[in-house]
Formats: sequence, structure tokens, C-alpha cells
Amino acid sequence: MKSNNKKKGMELFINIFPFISLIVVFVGFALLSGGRTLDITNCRKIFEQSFTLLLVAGAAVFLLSQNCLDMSVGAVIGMTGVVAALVSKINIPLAFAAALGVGVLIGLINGILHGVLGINAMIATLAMSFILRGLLLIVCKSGTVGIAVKMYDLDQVGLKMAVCVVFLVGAWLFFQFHSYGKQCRAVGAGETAAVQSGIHIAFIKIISYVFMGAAAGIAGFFTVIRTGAAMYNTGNMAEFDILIALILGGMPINGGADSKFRSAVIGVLILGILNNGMVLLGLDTYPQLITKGIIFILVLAMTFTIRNKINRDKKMA
Amino acid sequence: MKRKSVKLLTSLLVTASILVGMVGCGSKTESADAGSQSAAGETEESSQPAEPEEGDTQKEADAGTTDKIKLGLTIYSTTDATAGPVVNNMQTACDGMGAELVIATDEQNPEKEITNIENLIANGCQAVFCLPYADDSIPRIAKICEDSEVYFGFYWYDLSNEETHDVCYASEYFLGNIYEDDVWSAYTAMKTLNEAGASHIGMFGLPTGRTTTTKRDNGIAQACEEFGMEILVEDRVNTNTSDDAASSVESMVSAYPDLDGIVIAGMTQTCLPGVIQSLQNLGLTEKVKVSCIDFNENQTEYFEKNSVNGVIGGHFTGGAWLAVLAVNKLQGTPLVDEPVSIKDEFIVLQSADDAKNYDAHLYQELPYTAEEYAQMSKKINEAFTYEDLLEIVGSYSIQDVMTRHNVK
Repeated sequence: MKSNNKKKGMELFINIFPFISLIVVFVGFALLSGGRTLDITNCRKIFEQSFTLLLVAGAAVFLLSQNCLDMSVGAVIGMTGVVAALVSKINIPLAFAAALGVGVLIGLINGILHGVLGINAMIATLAMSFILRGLLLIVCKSGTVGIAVKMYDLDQVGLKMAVCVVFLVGAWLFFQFHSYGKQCRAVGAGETAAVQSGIHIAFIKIISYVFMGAAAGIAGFFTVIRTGAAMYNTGNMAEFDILIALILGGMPINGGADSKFRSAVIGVLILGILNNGMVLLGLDTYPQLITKGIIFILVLAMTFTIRNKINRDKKMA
Repeated sequence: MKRKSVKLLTSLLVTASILVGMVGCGSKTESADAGSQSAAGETEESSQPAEPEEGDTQKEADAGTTDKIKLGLTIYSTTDATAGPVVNNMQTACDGMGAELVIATDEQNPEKEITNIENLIANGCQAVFCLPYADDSIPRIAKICEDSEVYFGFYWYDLSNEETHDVCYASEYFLGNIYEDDVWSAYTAMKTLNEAGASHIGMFGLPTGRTTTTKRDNGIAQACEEFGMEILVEDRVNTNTSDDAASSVESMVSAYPDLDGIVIAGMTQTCLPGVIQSLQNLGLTEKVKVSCIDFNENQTEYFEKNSVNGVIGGHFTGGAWLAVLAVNKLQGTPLVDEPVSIKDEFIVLQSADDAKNYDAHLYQELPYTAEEYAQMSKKINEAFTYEDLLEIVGSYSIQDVMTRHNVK
């Protein structure tokens, strides 16, 4: 009885820990900065800075819940950004379609490489990342590609907010309530059991990578609108930001039934507030890196230790 | 059921905390908002809205009454031998003139740079300075600063692109840009190679798409034409690490056996150690001459070992000049009413003695002391003019610093 209560307590802690982290980061920086993080302009900036990460992290939940990684996200953002910038000089809606299309195509290839050919997800997407970065260097001639001037008009918070809400709510509904989302978690919990339950794993993986590619395509489009240009290093390290955000948001690194969509939103918010808050406090770059690293390790240590203990107890039971 | 209640409770707790935070800090939020909306600063006193018709002058005068003027800098590093001195000089200038400097690093990525600018403005910076990594991102930077009514300026940046020039000069918040003669720097780097007897050159360069790149390429082309030199191969990709640069040198030497010179027209910090190491390993230090743009930590040692023939750099005071312009503007005593374009001077090192003097008097000790910078604030030295500033900028050299600081 006592051990049962302890187990429940640990599960409860794991569930509420990301919320506590968000509250601590939010309230902590609000107090330390004398309320400057709460300034409406600043909140808007945090949203704008986190917008593309929100999209790709939302899509990455489907992959990570299956214990799959996509190490090519940053390069896909770069490639779709360059494509959007190039096509924007012809037609802006076409630029969006092109970015989305290229993202979907790359996602499809990633999905086939991993889902059908069985190449390890990390290796396949890492190789894709190299190919894309190489192509980016050729296309950009090691420099930048500017967007059409009219495209600047699309840099509106309202538009981003609408895209974000539609995308995240849609993705959440799919992940939480649709059979596809449940199948993703089932694959993460155990592929053999999932196959025996009649889940077409390859199909689920392909769809997830295509979705990831589409999200990266939209992110690439909005990234170039924000910066005015795409560069060979656009989207650099985005895959690591996604991973950090999801883990900060409480996502189990091995995926499975405990995967929660909210991890993406909470994690990205924590990361956004952290990045913004530390500059607002006037922290120098190196203390910023050290602080981020310490927070990341603390979160990992706490959630992993407890999650491992819960899993061990489950197995023993 | 119980779990759902906990979830609900947690969600309510988060919402409540956010609301409490927002309400609790409401009054500060207003002032912070006003601060970010006005270049006048953060305090309630200074955030009193100026009458629209009073415009700029009122804002500058208001700013003059604030506590410390806060300036923001986004730069790719704060420690390496090129970016570090920019930060140190700017910090000393701010210390001398009684301003505060906030620094954010940007990984040479336009996206991160724009994020930094937004965060620096949210921090209450009344002027922000950056090196735009793409001409195309300048309209975005200008818009962010205009929307926030924050002054901005560029260091190490030549505004020769007509479109971006017009965008900046149309903004009432543009202070100006500090640039170097990049055609001259690249030309001089090539000239030192020519003087050392090299004519078949391998080149490491900056990514294309920047005005700096175009200018340096022009300088190299000009030298090639004038001295009959030839660029056999160029690499703008393998420049981010010494390892990459070292491998690239091996490939260059292998593909072009007659290669007898290497010019590094950018990314010297990462390229030069790899280039020198690679040439040393290949036993080609004597045969292949090296010159570069931008200073580096080990240049004295490289000169002593004859591993380099010329280094062009020392253009580290641009940030400080922008700080001088900004502080004077923000305290209501502008040095000049229009945006300005100021040419920063390069220093050419051609021997170990040059490198030692530079290291001792311009790197370990800075070229201008806090007291000297203080005299560039009209609030402290009313007689100081824009022409005085131009004279100081124009006379920058190792000899000038040694004379001013009484070094024999």
C-alpha cells in the first residue's frame, strides 16, 4: 500500500514537474527582471522567437513518441527557407507551397529510409542533413538568398498566432484522440507488440516524417520572413533545440505511452523564457550557456531517475 | 478521476501564477513597456511620453535625465582576438562615458542576431549595434528598432548597397555605420604576399552575399591584376574550424603543386592555425607564404617562426565610436544630426616587432583609456565635436597610441 502510494507520488511528480519548471522559470525571471519579462512587447517577442520551434517541436512529438529522431530538421528548415526565398521572387503563395512541398518530399524520403528500408532513424536523418547542408552551400554559393520585399508584409504576429494555434490544436487532437496518435505511442512502447496489434509501422513512420517535413517547411518559410534572408546555416542546430525543449517539457526520451503533446508547448515556452530572460538580466554569454546546461542536466537527472525507478517497479510488479 | 483533478489543479496553478505575476508586476510592466517604446529609458521619470511634435530633441533631452544610458551589442564572440577587442574597447568607452553595455552573442546567424536585437531592446537598451550578416536582413533590423524607437548602428559594415543604405538613412533612429576599407585590406594582404615572392595563390574567404566579401574579392582581383598574381583555388566553406582549414590546405597543395601563397580574407581566427599547422606538417612553411585579414592570438609567434608574412587588422574601435555617437545622442548633446559613415583604420603587421608592439599597447592595454573616452562625451567635455572624433579615428595607429600613452 505504502509502495503503491510512493509510486503514485512519483508519477504525479513526473507529470507536474514540467509545469513546476515553467512556473519557476516564468515567475523567477519576472521577479528577477522587475517584471520586464511580462512586458507585453517582450511576451510578443518571446512568442515570435519561439514560433518556428513550436511548430517543429509539435511535429517532433509524433516522432519522439515512437522513439525516433530527426536530425535533419535544421537542414530542412534551411533548405525550405532557401527555396521559399528563391520562389518568393516569382510568387509568394507559390513560395509557401514550394517550401511545404520540399519539406514534405524530404520527410517522405526520411520516412522511406527509416520506415521501409529499416535504416536507423538517427543515421538516416543525419545523412540527409549532410546532403541538405551540402546542397544549401551550392544553392547559396556559401552566402545568402534574400526574400522578395513584399514577403516582409507577412511578418505579422496575428498570422503567426493563427498558424500556431491551428497547427498545435490540430496536432494535439491527432496525437491525443486519433488512432494515428495512439499508434505512434504504441510503436514507441514496443514495436513487436505494435505489429502484433495490427499496426502498420512503416506507414506510421512515413506519415510522421512527412508531417515533420511539412512542419519544417512551414518553419523555413516563416524563418526567412523573419530574417529577410536564408543562409547556408539557416536552421542550424534546430534539431538539438527541439530535443532540449521536448525533454524540458517532460517528454520521455524513449517515447511510448507516457509521451504527452503538451511537452512540446511547455518545453518551448521554458526554453524561450530562459533565453529571453537571461539576456534581460544582462547575463553574459558564457554564464548563459552554463545556466542552460545546469538546468538541462537537473531536469534530466530528476525526470530520468524517477522515470527509471517507475519503470523498474513496473517490470518487477 | 484523481489524476484528472491533479491535472486541472496544475493547469489552474500555472494560469494563476501567470496572472499573479502579470498583475503583481503590472506597474513595472507599464514603465518597461514605455521604456521599450521610447528611447528615453526605463525609469518612470524617463518614460513620460514626449509630445509628438517635440520629436527627437525631446527624447534626447529626456534621455539626458535618466540614470545610466544602456547600450546593446550583438557580436559573434566576446573572447577571440578579433571580437574580444571590439567588446573591450566598447566596454571601456561605456565605462568612461558612464553608460552600461549589454552584450549578446549571435553565432554569425541572422536569425539569432535578430533575436538578440529584440532581447536587447526588451532589456531596455536605448541603442543597439550589430554587424548585419546579410544585406537582406537590414530592413528587418531597421524595422525592429524603429518600432521600438531605439537607435541602431552597424560596426564593421560598409553600407555601399544602395537599397540598404536608403533603408537605413530613411530611419530617424539610424546613428551610422563604422566600416573599413575592405578593398584596401585585401589588396594589402595580397601585396605582402607579392613582396614575399608569391604569385600562385590559394584563398580562404568569407561567404558570399556580404558587402565585405564583395569588397575583399575586389581588392584581391585588383592586386592580381596589378602584380600579375593568380588565384588558383578558393575555399569559402572549410573555414569554420582549424581542422577543416588544415584539410583544405592539404587538398590545395596536392591539386596545385605550384601554389606558393595563401591569403586568408576572413575567418582568420579559425583558419590560420590550421593553415600554418598544415603547411608545417607538409614542410612547406618556407615555400608557401601566408597573409591574412584579422588579427589572431598567436601572431607574434607566427611572425617569429616566419609562418606569416603579413597580417592586416586592428579595426577594433568601431563599436566604441558607435557608443560615443549613441551616448552623445541619448544624453541630448548629439555630435551630429544626420547618420554618419565613419571609416575605421586598419593596422598592418609585417614583423614580430610590429606584432609585439600591437600586443602590448593596443591589445593588453587598450588604444584609448576610459578617461580618453570620457572626454568624447559632450556632457563631460562640451568642446568635443564630430570633427574631433573624425580626427581621433583617422589618426589610429600603433605609433599614435604609443605617442599618446607616452611609450618609448
